Amino acid sequence: MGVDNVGELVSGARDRDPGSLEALLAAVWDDAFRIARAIVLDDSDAQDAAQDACAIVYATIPSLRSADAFPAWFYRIVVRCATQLAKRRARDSPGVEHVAGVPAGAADRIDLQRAIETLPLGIRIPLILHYFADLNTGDIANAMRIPSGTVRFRIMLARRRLRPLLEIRLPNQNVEEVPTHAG
Amino acid sequence: MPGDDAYGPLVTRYMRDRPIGPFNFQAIERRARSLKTGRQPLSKRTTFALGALAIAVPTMALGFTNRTALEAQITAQLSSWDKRAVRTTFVSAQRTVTLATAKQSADFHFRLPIDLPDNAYLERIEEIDRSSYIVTYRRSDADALYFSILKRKSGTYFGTTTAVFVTRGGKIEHSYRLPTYVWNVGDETVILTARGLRAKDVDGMVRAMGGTKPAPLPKDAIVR
Repeated sequence: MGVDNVGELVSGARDRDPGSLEALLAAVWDDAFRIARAIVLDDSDAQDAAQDACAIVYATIPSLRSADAFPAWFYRIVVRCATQLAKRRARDSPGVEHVAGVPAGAADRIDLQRAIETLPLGIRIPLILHYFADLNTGDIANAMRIPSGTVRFRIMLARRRLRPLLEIRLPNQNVEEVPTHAG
Repeated sequence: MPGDDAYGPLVTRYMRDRPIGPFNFQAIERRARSLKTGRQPLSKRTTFALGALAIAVPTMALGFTNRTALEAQITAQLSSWDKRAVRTTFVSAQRTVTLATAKQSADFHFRLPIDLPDNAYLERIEEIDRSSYIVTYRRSDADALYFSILKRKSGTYFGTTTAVFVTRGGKIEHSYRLPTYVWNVGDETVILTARGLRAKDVDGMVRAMGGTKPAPLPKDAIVR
């Protein structure tokens, strides 16, 4: 979370201070939207999922025991909302994939986007939470309700899929081989 | 050596590569309020009363002349049943109509047959089985019934996948899709069904019209 005073805002929000609540949600909105979008692969669905997540935070933050627990708690809610929406969309449109718009830019951007977005959801989510949200495997396991070992294994699978991109970018360097661990 | 750390910038670049949707605090507040409201459980009695009222109003032929309103009303009704995951019996003016609901919540979008006239009103919704319903409309200025079949797959209702137009008196005015099978009920009623319609769907429609077991007619006898 790219805001320094999140702890203060969380404390204020838990006490139902309207200003703190709005400031907190505004501060975490970007992360919520980005993570939701990486899961649902659609901007308007990401908006919906992020708003749902923020609404849940709005309604339930007084029950949060500690301000320190906010990031993991918040990401868990975002992941849950976005995953539910992604599954619903997949069910509503069987066989139809969300095709994300390709931003204008170099080919490697397209490769990067394609490489990440073609990862199965169960692999993409831990990758994003680990490298973008900076959650540890325990928090990711908690968010996804899977064992920690499974999280590590899936992150390893994601790295294996992304390795060719790194090899193109860094042709003279070797990418670390990660030992497998199935949880 | 690019190890584990090398993937962080890659993922971060992907995540930050696209624009962010607008933050709308008022919309979040609204959602939060509806979230709270939705969590308040309704008693079975209240659920029944609300549902019965919702179905009874159009059933009593108050005249839904507005297509959008009718669609919205049916959509809201079935969606609410779906989300409450209850099985409720609704009594219409003419007969008992039972609707089973899915346990899982689902987005539900209902569309009327495209050729349904504006002066048609909802007469009843009848369950065929747990995954399909027959929605019956009657036109206020003619003795004609319109049916649409509502099917559910994996908890999601699909709108009118098969629509059927029925006329009385042996004259076919119009059909929603190219008819494949023709059935008669009694001497005068003709039902056209589209390809792929299951036998029990047809039986349900015939029952809804008060007919008996349908007998197939030769295709060239009716189809124009």
